[in-house]
Amino acid sequence: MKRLISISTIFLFSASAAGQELKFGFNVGTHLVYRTKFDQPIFIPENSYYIYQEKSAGAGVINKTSVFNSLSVGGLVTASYKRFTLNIEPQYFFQRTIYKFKEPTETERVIGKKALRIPIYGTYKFWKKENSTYLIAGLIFHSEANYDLQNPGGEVYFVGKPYAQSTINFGDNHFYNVLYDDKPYWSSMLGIGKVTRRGLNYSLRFHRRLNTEKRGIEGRIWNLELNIGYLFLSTRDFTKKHYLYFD
Amino acid sequence: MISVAFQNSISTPLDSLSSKFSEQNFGFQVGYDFAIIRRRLRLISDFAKPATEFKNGWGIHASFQKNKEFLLQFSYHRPLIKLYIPLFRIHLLNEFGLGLHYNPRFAEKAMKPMTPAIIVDVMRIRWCNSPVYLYAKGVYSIRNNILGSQMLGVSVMMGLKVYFYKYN
Repeated sequence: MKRLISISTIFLFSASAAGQELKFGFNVGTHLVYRTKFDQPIFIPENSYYIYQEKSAGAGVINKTSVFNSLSVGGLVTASYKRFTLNIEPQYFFQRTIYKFKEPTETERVIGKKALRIPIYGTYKFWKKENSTYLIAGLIFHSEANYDLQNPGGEVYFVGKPYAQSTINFGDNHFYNVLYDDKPYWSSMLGIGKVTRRGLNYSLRFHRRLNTEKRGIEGRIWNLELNIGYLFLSTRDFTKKHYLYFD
Repeated sequence: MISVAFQNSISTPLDSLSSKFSEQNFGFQVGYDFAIIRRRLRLISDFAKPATEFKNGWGIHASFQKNKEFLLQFSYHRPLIKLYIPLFRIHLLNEFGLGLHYNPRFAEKAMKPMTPAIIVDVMRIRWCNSPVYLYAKGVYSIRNNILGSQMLGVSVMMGLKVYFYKYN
């Protein structure tokens, strides 16, 4: 494996790879749809006396679809060769979702994360032209800090009243090892994208976490993300330019 | 373009969630925008009428409020959504800026009074073509943690702004 990587690296930097182009830019994105399902009728957290129950039979404790619950901002590096590109996007990722539970008593929880995400993916252009639609496939590395707390509500956020006076606090981190854990992990990514005439890369991406069963995470989570990237710097900007003149 | 505004700032902590207005904090704002103007000819029936349109701009604005509140902002100015109704022009999402916000009210709830902030000019209402705007902008502290249970440092500034400029 080491030999394979070293040989491919040498090929990458060799003269035969001169047709490559590196581009740099930035990207922003948000979840269009974020789906969470925790398919258990009853859930008892280890660190609380609150017992979560499903609303109706078969619904599961969590059965929620959220929209626009995240924001990602980051850089973008693209290496292109013919119709293929390899992309790396280091991103700061922020997500906040409110889950409402009605049984046995009404409560709301805020579950969110601040993360470093590194999507590494390849694209393939369907046609030769520069603004072609392209296919996306790859992996995302996540290293994240998770937050799981009872929703403090508007009185804490805007009036500044102490948390304990407003309601009973059932504690933090109820869904640890159910919806999230603190270890870094990988997600798979599939998508489709389009470059506009102005050079904006619009892409729709489907994400799903890998190795959830191995880690003991029972919640099923997937999301559809809209990402907009803009490449503003290319290695060809620094190379010698050849102009063609026509009379 | 030089701008002068009379404005009112309402910021957290509010007196209560049910009361619409918390403590009023009046003041004024002065600013300068480096504007990029686009000129084009509008073809109306048989003749071409020259039209001058604001394209975008970079600005620096300073707000001085009562109660020692102060905001210095650097912003990019470009109206994203324009709605035209008779006699009025409504612009949504106009200015996007970064700045420094000093607000002694934040210190009441154990927040630092000086915070870096994101500023978004949410809405402007303009009377016909006059350079007079009614506006509302939000100031959101970057130190806020909405994944926590502490008070958020948020302000809303509303006012009347007049631009002074001349066409060459």
